[in-house]
Amino acid sequence: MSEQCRESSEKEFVNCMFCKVRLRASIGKLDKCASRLFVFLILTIALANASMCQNFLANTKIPEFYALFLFGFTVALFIIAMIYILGEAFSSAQTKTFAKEELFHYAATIFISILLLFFISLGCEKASIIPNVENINGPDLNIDKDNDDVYTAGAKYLDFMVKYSFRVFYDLRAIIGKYEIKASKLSFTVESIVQFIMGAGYTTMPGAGWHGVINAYSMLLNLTMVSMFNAFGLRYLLEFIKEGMLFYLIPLGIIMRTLPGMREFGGALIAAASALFVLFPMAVLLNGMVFADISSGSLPPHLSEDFSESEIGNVYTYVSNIIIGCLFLPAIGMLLIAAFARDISILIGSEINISRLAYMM
Amino acid sequence: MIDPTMWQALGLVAAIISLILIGIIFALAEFFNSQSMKEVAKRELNQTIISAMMLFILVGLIYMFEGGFKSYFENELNVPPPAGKTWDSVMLFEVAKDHLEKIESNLLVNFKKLSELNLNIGESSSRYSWCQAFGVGVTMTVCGATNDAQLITNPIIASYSRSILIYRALISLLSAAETILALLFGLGIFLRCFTFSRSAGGFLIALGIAFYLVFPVTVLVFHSYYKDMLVTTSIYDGMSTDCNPKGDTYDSDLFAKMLDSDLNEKAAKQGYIAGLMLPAIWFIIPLASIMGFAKIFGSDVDVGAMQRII
Repeated sequence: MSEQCRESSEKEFVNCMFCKVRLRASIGKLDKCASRLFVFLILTIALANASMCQNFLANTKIPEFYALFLFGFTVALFIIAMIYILGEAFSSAQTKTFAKEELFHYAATIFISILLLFFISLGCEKASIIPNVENINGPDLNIDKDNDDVYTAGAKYLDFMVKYSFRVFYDLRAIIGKYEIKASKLSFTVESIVQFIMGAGYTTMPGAGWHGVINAYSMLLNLTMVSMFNAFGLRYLLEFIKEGMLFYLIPLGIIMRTLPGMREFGGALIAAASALFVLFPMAVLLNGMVFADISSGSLPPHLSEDFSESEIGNVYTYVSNIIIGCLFLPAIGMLLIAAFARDISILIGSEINISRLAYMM
Repeated sequence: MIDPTMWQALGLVAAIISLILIGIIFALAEFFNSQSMKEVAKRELNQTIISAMMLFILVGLIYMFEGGFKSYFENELNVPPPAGKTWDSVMLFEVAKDHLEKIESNLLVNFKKLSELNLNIGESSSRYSWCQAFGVGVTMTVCGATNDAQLITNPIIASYSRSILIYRALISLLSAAETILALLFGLGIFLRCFTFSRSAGGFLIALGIAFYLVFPVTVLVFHSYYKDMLVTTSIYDGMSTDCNPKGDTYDSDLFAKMLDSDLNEKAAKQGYIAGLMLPAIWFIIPLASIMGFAKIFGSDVDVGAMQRII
């Protein structure tokens, strides 16, 4: 084409080159547009897959995403075809190469889409997808691995954790209350009738020494309370992730990723939301397996009113179990999700920087 | 109980799925004549082979290291196995758990004794004598100075309480060591087979090794520092809180014993060395090893940064 331009006059040459540059710029824009549509396509496929989980998302309008998916698919193909036709029309080998590259990316996108489809579908699978999930069961915890999806099973386990920590919190509070009563008791003593007549005697606080033990148990109570709130938080986070990620954050990430300058942020948002949607319930259930091993899946028995000496050791066991179940294991789960989100974000074309995120938070 | 073979089988299935995916990528690369895509397929193939090798070799290596450490602890450090058992019949984490249980039981006995003592101190020091006639009189705290003993006992009780809690948590983790290994190792291999979850997989494998091997080894290495505590001894026995209103309470038996250097050395060993310092070390070393192992297994999880968030 440039050879043809050189053969023309100087003015025609300038016009010809200008047209060529403009054409290339237009094709470049179309190319970028197509690339973004591919990303859009990946996620619409993934979202469309969620419609397969009929029980899971029965009351949502997710099937509409099927139409969106088909629309994205068709438009992307149409743009590639247009680029190729333009390349043919202007006999531009470069444009044709563009179109071929786009077609290649298109195929790669479908491949990645299938993988993402698989990921998202994991979020609405039955709990039986996790081997040995039946181990989470116990007298006070019943997960139906064949009927409960991973979110329902995770919710059951977290409800159990809340009950477990609340029972210990309740009993500890009662014991501390009793100790407070004992500690505040004031005893008046008159040792003889002479002292009584003279108005002499002494007072003691027999339980004054309980304050040291009360302080120690108050620390346990504080830790139990923090852990219990964390279990509550995880329970509601599970609910939020179930719908919030799929219907709000992932679509928001898609929109962000198509906007100039917001691509990185959009990619990171998509990655983090996808990782949370898929891995959070799984991580909760894996934690459940470890916790069931420690607690046998049963709530701790109520502590006796007298709170015998033999029960002191049990209180420490229950509180340490709560700390492991509500603080330590979820923290490990979050690390796992962060690692997964980072890999997904690289696949999508951006990178989540955990260090920066940590500083920001 | 968790069935480890099931999770290992899952790892194997993941390796096979991964191989099929790599085959598809390579076929696509051939179709589009893309050299870069072929490179990706080859790199992924290498990673899958490494993951599959881990499944068989790493398990063997862990058990081999475990055997080596057991021999070292038995012959070099003279670490005793649990009562009624031999080193050949127990795993490292079981020995570590047994030791932690003994230390915890020791701490609990002293916690109870000190609580009793504190109760007596409280009762004794709260005694007010009063005498009144025709609306006027006096009250005095005849044993008030004994109350100062609570300045010593209260922080020690709090310290014991914290230590017992830490020990219970460590014991619980060691009780679940086999479950944790089976879960983390199998799932780790599974996730490591795929490019999009390699970091997560590497992290889980590192976590499994840290819990199963590094943690008990770290506990047992410090055996010489805590061996005195494996035998339960109550260091607060025989302390009397008798108050002598006529005498100087600072000369009492209680304060003499409270300020005794031998008792304080024992209390410091229990409360600070075994109670706080050692658990901190036992926690930090496996945590640091997670970062190291994670890098080896293809993950660069910033544990420090995540801790800030957590």
